[in-house]
Amino acid sequence: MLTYAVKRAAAALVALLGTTVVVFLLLRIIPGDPATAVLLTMLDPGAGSVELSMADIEALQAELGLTGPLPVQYLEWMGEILRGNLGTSLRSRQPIMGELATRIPGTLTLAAASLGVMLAIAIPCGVLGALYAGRPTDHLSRAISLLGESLPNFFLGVLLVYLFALWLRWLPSMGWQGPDSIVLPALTLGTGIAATTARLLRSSLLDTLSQPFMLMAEAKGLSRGRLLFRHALRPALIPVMTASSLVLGGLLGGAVVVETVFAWPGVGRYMIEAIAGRDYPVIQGFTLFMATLFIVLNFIVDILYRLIDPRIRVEVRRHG
Amino acid sequence: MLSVESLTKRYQGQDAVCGVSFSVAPGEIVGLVGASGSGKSTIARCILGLERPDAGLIRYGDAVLTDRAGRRAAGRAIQAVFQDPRSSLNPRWTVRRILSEPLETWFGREPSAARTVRLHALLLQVTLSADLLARYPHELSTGQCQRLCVARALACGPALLVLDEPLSALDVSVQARMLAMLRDLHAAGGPSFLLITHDFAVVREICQRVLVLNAGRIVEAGPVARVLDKPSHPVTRSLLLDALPLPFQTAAALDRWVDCTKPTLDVAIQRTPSS
Repeated sequence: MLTYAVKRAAAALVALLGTTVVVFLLLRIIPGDPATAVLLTMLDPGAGSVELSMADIEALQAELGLTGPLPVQYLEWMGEILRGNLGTSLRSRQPIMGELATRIPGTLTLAAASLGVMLAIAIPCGVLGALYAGRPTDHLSRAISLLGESLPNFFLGVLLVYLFALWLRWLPSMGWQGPDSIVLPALTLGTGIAATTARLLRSSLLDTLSQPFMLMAEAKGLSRGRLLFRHALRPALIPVMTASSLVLGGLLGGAVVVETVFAWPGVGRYMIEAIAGRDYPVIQGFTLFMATLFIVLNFIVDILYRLIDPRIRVEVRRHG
Repeated sequence: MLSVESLTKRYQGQDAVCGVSFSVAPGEIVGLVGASGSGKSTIARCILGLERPDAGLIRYGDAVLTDRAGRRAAGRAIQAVFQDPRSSLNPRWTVRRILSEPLETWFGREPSAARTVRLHALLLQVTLSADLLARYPHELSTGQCQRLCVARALACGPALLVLDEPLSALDVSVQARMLAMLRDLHAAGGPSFLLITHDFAVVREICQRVLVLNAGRIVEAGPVARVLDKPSHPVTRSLLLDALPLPFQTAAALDRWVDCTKPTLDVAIQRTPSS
């Protein structure tokens, strides 16, 4: 197991290194000079008719680390990253790490609440769909899943705001005005991802229920609840767990649409503002943050998966 | 104890089992023999509540086992051992958990030390080492897995054990040990067995009564010695002819096999056209 974990960690480090190269090159391979583009956007977002001095352009190039040979630029940039410095935002003139840190709690709260909504919808829908496969309950749960999957977040979000905030006046429509502010964004985000997860759980559970050991468990005269909760649900949740980790990665990276619709103070909205303002250091820092998040989550899931399924541990012993 | 009356089961309009009736008395070992596709396993599945019969009645005491609810009503009294031991065991559970589950289900929780003693006794009963408790099914041999399946079935103290081809997945030397173990279990006051097999050698070794099944119908039934030594139905004779002696058979058993198949062999030889 330890050998396996070390190998996976090494692979994750290589992937991380590759990601830094790609993120670093992105800024350098965009058409035109990034410094000029940034200055034009910041000084005259409309027409781009402002006369720029060479001194200003060179100063910004130096600030962005765009001078000198590429390998040297990369090493200097990596040196700063390793010291925990993602650079400074061109718009706010604040350290990017600090700005991300102030927005991460908002994103974390939304991600956790959305995950809760997702599980509350997906597990009953998936279980009922599998237990009553081909019957009206299954068709209903699949219809709900399909509806949830088909409705775009921005539409569902606006619909919920209209219903619960404007019409019924039960919940605040946007921003952070207290704990109940999270209900609508979490519902919007959770419903969409619940649909996919419910379908995945249904098919995974159907697959588990058709295994010979389940037939044996049934032949033993066990009750339906015991069959489901003691025998079937745990193995069926393994693929769901793998998929959920990717969903969680997406949620932690900020749900751009939902954060925008609900004016939620999270990293997704921060990223959108950075893109609109051509704040390249922020875009670069955020991309790196997201990539690292996904690599770390994948590493954790790989380890968890092998802890849960004992047969894989043996494969690792044999081959690893 | 177990009574099957006019059991009929159809798949896509075809009779898999047709009007089968038999019973298994307390302490009895009944063999259900037939070629592949004769309906043996369908009968077992109906008894275990895995299939709903199209007609007929299966009773166990006061419980009517015609569906899953009926099967659950019979509770722990009927347990099963299937052909493929590996796939019958939850691959993510250790031996301890596999054996503890029926105990917890039917008798409730108990202190860990008492549970361990009970598990050791169960493993001993099926001649498995107590060291295996922490292992997973994939870490056991096929023979060990099948003995574990028997131990699991015995854990809740059943009155009837349905053994559906329990030896088919095992190699011959393991078959002999397994058969000896089943015989010892029964001799020690174990449950009744309904042994489903296609192998007459196994029936002769362990069963008291045998039912011969062909195309979903019982064609011959009676005490093992009578049916195997003086078969009256052509299907029984044909099945006996197809049977091969196995290494665990004694010389006397082999002699009996030759004697009982000789008339059929003679007929077959006479029918063979000379070259």
